[in-house]
Amino acid sequence: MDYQFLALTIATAIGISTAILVAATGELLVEKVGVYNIALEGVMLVGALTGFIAGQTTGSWVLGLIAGGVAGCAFAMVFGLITVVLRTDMIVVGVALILVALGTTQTIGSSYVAVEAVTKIPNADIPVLSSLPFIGTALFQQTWVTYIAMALPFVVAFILFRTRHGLNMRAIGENPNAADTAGLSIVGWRLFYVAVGGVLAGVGGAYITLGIVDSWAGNVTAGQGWIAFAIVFFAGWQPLWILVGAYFFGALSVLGDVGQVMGWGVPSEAFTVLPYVGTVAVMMLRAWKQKSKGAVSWPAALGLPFYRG
Amino acid sequence: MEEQHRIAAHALDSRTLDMTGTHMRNRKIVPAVLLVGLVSLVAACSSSTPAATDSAAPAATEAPAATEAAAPAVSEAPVVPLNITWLYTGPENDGGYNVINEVAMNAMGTVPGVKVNGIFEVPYSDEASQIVRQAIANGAQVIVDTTGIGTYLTDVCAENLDKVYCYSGADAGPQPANSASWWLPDWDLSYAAGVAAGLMTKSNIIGAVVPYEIPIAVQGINGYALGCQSVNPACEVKVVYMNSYFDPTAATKASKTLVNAGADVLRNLTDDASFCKVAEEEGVYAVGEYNDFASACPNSIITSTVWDFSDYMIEEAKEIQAGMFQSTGDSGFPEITPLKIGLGGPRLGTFGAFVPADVKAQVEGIFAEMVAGKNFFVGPIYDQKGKEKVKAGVELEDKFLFHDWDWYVKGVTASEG
Repeated sequence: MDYQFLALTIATAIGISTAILVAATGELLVEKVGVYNIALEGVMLVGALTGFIAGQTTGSWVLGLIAGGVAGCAFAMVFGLITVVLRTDMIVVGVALILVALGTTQTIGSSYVAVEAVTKIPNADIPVLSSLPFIGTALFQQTWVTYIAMALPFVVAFILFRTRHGLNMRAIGENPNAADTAGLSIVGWRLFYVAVGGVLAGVGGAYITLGIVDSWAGNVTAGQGWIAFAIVFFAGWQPLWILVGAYFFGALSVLGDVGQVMGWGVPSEAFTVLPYVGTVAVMMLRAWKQKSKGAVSWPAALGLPFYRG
Repeated sequence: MEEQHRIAAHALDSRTLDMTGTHMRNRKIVPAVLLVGLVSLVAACSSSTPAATDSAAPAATEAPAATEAAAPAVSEAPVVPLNITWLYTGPENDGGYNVINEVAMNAMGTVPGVKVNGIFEVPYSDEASQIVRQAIANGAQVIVDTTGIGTYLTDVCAENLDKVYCYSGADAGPQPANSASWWLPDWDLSYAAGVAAGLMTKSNIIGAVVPYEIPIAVQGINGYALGCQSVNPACEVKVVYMNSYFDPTAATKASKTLVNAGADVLRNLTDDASFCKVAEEEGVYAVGEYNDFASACPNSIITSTVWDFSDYMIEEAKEIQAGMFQSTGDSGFPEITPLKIGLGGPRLGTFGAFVPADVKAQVEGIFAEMVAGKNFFVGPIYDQKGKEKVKAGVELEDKFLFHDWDWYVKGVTASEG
């Protein structure tokens, strides 16, 4: 494998991981305050279609991304209202909403299938850096969205671990009763972060249709929401590990293609299944480590509806 | 007369099918849909038992005007109503494979009396059989499968000899008395695509994004490679299997990796247009399969090998209406219907405006020879390791080309088949 091919492969892996990275970072915020939005796949789909339609209508991918974020937010709020306010089961509601999103987007989007995109997110080579040998090709010939996505986990890490608000967020996720006693609005903040997570998942979805495949098709996300959901667990709720996880998954999936092109003789199915086996393995490892330490890495109140008292 | 009532009842039921067809995409809703299906199955059975004998169906439709003086006006009309349901893998209007099948379906719908509808996202599993059963219960009199579900269809057809006719595309398995299959010489189309690629490539590396490691893929890749090598002996083919027919993200990723590895002509055996979109973006060429991709990717598509079943399907609909249905029998491949390539059938698509005239002429010339019946699959043909597998002068037969070819030719890089 020559250097140029390796650099291009890394660039491809980073490029296609962007949507997952953005969505997973959003999901991390949601889970940090104690909610898991299992409907992530559905939120991404809604964002993907809305973003594409907005892009087609306005001719601007920026507006497309914004529209994707807004739609993702709105759809996530449906989940938020049902689970956070009405305290219903997150898994049941989440799975139901995914099916709603799948059917609805296929119906509404049917006239947008196989339509040529009028706008798409252009690559933005960073001056000087992009002409560096190897690293320039591998890292600095991406879209702006990808650069921002790379920075996002750092921003989230700063907010979570270096600000008072981050401390409050973690308190809400770890011990909502204590946080409630301290005067924080549990339901309010949970809803707020479900909305923020929805924005990011919606933008991630819109990135798929506007930046990766440049088209809409039914179920275009094809499981990327689930992968983003898994990455949060994989990362052990640590923002910087989200970055590692997203690129690890991206690299594995590109590696499957590379292996075939290079004739490594590995069955193509092996690489298709590897990311999922990887997640299970890492989670088992984590569980085993935690058992010996007697502490858990997930927010203690994750998935539990809040009842005052 | 009873038969006419049965058909009328089914025509009513088919409206329910239209509705459930869209719900079918959501697998979780299937249990509910099946319940509806079961209810209508019971209804359909009870309404059609009097006429349900093997010979009744063709006989009733054969001579509508002749002796039946007492019959009501509806049975004297020369138009025979026929409800036809098409099964698709992947979503409606996927920009490729389903599009050309939808064209053929709608062509069938232009035959007087014929009503068509499609069910999408049909999975390759037991569930497909349930979908077929439900379609029959809802009044489908003909099922056309474009997904290759094989025995999941034919088994159900065999249970419903008196109710339905079935068509399965490129199914070499035995067909029950009410079922037929057809094939098209995709190896020829692939060979022509390979010639086009071989004349345009500069890197001498061409790529293909392929769904699964299945016979039709192996012959498609081999045809592509041999066509390319016939005009460009140094030509190499790199293949990425996607393990899905329809996944635009995966197809985009695979296409990019092929370009990264030096391929400057891309080809799809997958369903959608991602391969040529990547080609447009990366400034390389592409050769389309199934659909004419020239309008989707005007700057990259050299040409496309277009599958067109319209003529065949129109003919079959008319034959069923005339009571002339013919099964392709249980001996498998030798009897299934070959589609003639060329005008009105599978053919070459639009050439890109950038393609030099002599390249276009050469590809069209080779295609014309194929239409005239020339076999381009003649030894010596070597396998990947360079071993001679077909001796000089030996012609490969259709049956071998269709589903026995399980090794790649020299110059192909692909994961183990």
